[in-house]
Amino acid sequence: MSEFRPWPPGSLTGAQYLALTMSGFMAMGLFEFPADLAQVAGRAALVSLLISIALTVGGAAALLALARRFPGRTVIEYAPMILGRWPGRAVIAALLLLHLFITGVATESFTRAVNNVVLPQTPAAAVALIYLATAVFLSWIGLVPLGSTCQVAFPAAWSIMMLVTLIAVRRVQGLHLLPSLVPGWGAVAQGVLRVYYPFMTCKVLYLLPGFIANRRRLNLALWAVGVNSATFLAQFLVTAGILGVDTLHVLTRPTAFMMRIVRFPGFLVEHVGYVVAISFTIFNCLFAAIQIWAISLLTAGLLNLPRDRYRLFIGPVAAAAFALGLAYEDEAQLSIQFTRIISPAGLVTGVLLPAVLYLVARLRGFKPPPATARQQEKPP
Amino acid sequence: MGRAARHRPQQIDPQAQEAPDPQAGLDLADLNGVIEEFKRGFGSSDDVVVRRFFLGSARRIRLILVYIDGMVDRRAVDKDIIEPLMTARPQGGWPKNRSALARILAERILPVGEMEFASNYGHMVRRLMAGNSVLLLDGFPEALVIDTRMLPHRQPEAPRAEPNVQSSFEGFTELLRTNIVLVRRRIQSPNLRVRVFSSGHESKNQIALLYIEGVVNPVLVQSMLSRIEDLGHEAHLFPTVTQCILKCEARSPFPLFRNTERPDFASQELLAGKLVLLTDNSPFAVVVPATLWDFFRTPEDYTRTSWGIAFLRLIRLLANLTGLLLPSLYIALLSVNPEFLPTYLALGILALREGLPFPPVLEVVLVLLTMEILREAAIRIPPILGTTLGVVGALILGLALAQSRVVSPLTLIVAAVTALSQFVAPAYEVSLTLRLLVWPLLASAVAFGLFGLTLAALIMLGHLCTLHSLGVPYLAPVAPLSRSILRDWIFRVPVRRQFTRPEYLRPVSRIKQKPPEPPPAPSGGQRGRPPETGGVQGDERPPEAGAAGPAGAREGDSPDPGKKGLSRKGVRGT
Amino acid sequence: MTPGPRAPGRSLLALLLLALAPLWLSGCWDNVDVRDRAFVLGLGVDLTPEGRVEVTAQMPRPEPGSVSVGTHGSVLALSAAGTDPISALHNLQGRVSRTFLLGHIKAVVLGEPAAREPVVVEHVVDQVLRHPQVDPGAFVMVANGCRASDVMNRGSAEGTASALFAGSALEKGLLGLNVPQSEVWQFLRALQTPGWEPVAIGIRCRPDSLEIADAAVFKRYRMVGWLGPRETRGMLWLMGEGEGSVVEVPSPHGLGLVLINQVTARFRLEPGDPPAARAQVSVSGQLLHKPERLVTITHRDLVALNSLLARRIQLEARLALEKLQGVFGADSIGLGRRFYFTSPYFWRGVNWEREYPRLRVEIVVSAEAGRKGSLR
Repeated sequence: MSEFRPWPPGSLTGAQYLALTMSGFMAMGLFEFPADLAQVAGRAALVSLLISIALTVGGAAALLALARRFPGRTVIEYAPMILGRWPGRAVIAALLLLHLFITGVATESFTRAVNNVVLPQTPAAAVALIYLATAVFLSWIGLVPLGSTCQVAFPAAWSIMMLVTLIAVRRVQGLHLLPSLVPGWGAVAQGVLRVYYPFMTCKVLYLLPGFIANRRRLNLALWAVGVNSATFLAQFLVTAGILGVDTLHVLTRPTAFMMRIVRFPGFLVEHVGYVVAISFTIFNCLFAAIQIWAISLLTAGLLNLPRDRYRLFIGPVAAAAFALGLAYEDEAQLSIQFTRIISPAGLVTGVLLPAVLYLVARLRGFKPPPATARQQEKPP
Repeated sequence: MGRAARHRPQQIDPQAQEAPDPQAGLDLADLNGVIEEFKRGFGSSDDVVVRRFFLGSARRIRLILVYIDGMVDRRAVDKDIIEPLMTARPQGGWPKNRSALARILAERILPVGEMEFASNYGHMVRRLMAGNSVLLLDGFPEALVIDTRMLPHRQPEAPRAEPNVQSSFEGFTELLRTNIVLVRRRIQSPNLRVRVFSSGHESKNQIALLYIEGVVNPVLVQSMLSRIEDLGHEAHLFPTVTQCILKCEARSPFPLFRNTERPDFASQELLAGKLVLLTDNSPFAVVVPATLWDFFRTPEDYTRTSWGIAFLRLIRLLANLTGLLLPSLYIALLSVNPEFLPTYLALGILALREGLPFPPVLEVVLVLLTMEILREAAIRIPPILGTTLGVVGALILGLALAQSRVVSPLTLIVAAVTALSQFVAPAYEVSLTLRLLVWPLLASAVAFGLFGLTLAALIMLGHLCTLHSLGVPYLAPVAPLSRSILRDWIFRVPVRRQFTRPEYLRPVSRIKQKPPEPPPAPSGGQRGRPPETGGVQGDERPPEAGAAGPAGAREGDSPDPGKKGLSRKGVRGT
Repeated sequence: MTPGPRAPGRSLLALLLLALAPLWLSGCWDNVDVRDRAFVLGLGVDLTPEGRVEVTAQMPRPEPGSVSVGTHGSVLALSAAGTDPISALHNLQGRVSRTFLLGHIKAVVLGEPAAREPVVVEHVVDQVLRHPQVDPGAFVMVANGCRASDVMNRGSAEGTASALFAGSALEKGLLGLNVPQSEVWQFLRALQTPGWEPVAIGIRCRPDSLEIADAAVFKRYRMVGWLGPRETRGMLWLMGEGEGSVVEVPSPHGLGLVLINQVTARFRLEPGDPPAARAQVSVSGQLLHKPERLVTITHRDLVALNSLLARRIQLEARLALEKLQGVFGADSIGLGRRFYFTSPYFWRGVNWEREYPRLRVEIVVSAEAGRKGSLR
């Protein structure tokens, strides 16, 4: 009682929730996806992308509907309630493994990018280590401070990136953006199935809504999903508009490439695009921090520990991510992980699973509690 | 409530004093015994004056007046105490009853403003050490404590550490009473509460907590009070006392409270719903809770146009970022990622660096260290020699460094801009933080270039987000976002529209441009009034608090309040 | 309240710093003093008589206190031979005391024989884009009438080092240069996109200076020939570029001059057998000199002038197109690309290599010259 707290401790404000959702959703595959999309779907890439966005919004809406039915709870609590104890735990375990896997892959992918472009002589392990150390620190400080960090860092990084993208717009040739269905619907479906990975991380919404103080702010996450999808779309449009779909698929990181060819003569940083390297670093760090937090929380939930004990698992999780990252021999192998494993798994956990959980919850008669009743009950 | 009560709550109220006191049983009526005790207690302290004399014509009534030389107003002692006592000749003669006699002395004979009875020796000595005179009457078991304090002090002068162009030129002094008066003069409201505590077993230094009842959130006050209670017995002579209160001294390099020398700033923060701590013997008020952005505000910000101030605040913020990041950015771009530089700039730098002996990292470290040495020296050196040093340091050293081709001129420029930028913040303590944080950032830039710098900045940001100043998030209202970000963050809304207080303080009344309502009635346990456990209650003026406030009259037993002006020099215009 | 988010955070911070300290001690892998780097500003690629590749790197001369940054005197050019450009550059490294920094390469100049050798061009494009440091925005140029090493060893008329001269002139899109854009990534884009062939900028050696002019036409990785100044400009009209050039308008009464301010080119495609295209070029410009009398331009004058201007532009465009279609068979304007993007089904069934030379292109030009100066 003697402590003055202007905000209810341990729960997120609307802005923090928004920022966390956005930063948990931004980094994954931001560099690579236009190349993979162009390779798989060819000139139908844009159609694939739009379908992916629609699926993502649907999945996010299902997750939010679930959150509304179980206020103050995360998937750790509501999955066993909906599906029964063991199937629920299986879902949690699957999410946990998937999160761990993508953290490892994303760490390795980002480390390689840094290593290639800005720090060629530095050993990859050192880069991965300091990167993960930062992420560990950010997840250690707790969800609310992490939310505050995202709330400051994310908009800054995002606006820098979008500013450069905006400067790049003048090099876009509208001709290159004309979509076509020549590759056929099969290619479109392949595009969705193989290159869903940038959108899969919106499954951070399995956990975050359980921490929000004001339930009326839940829907802010849809804004986050919208803005992020629009960002991906803009990145793709500008990249493809400048380079053409046929050039995209020979590049390793088309988004970064696009930023590098933006010129702004006379500006302090002649190649403005390099500034975006900072944005990318921030995105990836926040993303990794949220991932590590999510994995630790899922682990704690799986072991029936209270939420606050998630810090116990941060160290092991980071170590596992580091080890997973080292497991890849080359970048080609790494990018196969994205298209062959992560994307389909992302479709399952980001779209299918929320839909199933929502339908089962409806069938079993879980209803959102009336808005006026303040839910005081604490989750286990 | 993580901190257990490690220390016994330090009760400060002199009236309720029950401090360990070996002489508690001493009979004050026995003058010889008291004199013996004085001799034993004070030993060879020559500044304790013990004056023995007889009351008026009555030969047999012995009196002792004790005071400490230099802390009392000698004229008042002679004219207002000794003279009336020696010359008094009451018409009906002196009563036999000693307590009746004492009442006559207090009510009729002594023309002094403030007086109280002390019934035990320890209490009496404490009052004596605070600068009061003590009158002992033979055979009377209590001592008369007469306020004759005249402590050496400065007059309010222009603030030295926070100079401003267009605002009040009055700064706090070392005297607590004067400082309280300086605030009271700006907030002439009965709702301004002043609560005085003393800390430190030996020094008995006094702390005053100021707040406005009905504006500030009571939980905030309570939170502060419980921290003051947890305060130890150590002697705290300086505002570090607040660091102890906030318990974050060593853990974070960032200042969690705002020191200010300016009564106008302190008053303004009080009106916004914050707390102000004044420490006796220190000309710095401490404003809590403080957010990071508070260190970029000055009272001047409210005397100019909104746009001008938004510009100035942006400059301050940018300058501080420069002071923090420029050396590391320089190293990162020069040594690790030179491909980021514009080609012509890179070529220019290359031409300047050709043939220099040291790598840029070493240059920057050398020059920054030299700057730090110069700065420290500049503070210590007496002002008369200061200009000489400035010339030696800045001109000769800089010129020599540049011309001897030991250090690149660009490095000198970077270091100079860094050094200047670190002093742009209106609050001095920020500059120290910046000077400190430059080094870890530099290290990360040396090792990992821009990448390392970004990570280090993120860690710093994360750390900032974990900080709280008395429960208020350090980055509020930016993170967590609150509506007051629009009111007075970088852009300040025009004064006529600035009618709300920062909501991250959760003030009781959010409306500012209306006289605050009287304190709300206690409504349940949660938002009730502060607990009754603290020492002096808010609306009861402590004896030290001066007499400026209308709520100040105590007991009403001083016969002539107008005459005792000497110890109240700070009061002007009330 | 979460249990003590502050205390563990800080102790962890200390722990982190401790953990990172050894990294800092042993690290700084990428920390190299600028003095120890050789900023390569331009690369020249030539063929030696034995058929090897000779690379000439232009870099600043290590000279203490040199104030005149970027002048021809402040740079030097060194050459070495190898099997391909990058290995030649590595061979050069052995003769220089500093590490090459390729991040500031402004221009890659190919000697004409090298440009006519597809393997070399392929290597250049591939290696430039594969190198993580090299700016994909470096310009691809072909030396006209001299070796690339001559270009690297020569300064511009104003004394700027050749690579910086080319780089800064082209980067800023200097008006009136009349050369197509050809950064390395654009080269790659044209190679990758169906129905599009790359071009490169020509750089001509004068006795004591350099001149940016002309365009080198490529077909895939092989240079097939030059477009002269008028033809280059004709190609630019069709690309919707060419702002800043001055067009001479001949009339029976003398020579008028028009400064072109804006150019747009639109195409209407007619897939069929044979396919046809209609190019609508609109230019607007500003009259610099009127052929007949000094002052006073009437409406009738302007109409006459505009039709002359349009005819002139149409002529230049026609010249360029004829050379590209008939002589080189290279689709540098990217007409095929337009079919590819707008009529994908037509494109699937067509052999553009065969169709392009017989494509009928109708060029319609609308020109509008105005009086914008002080004279009526």
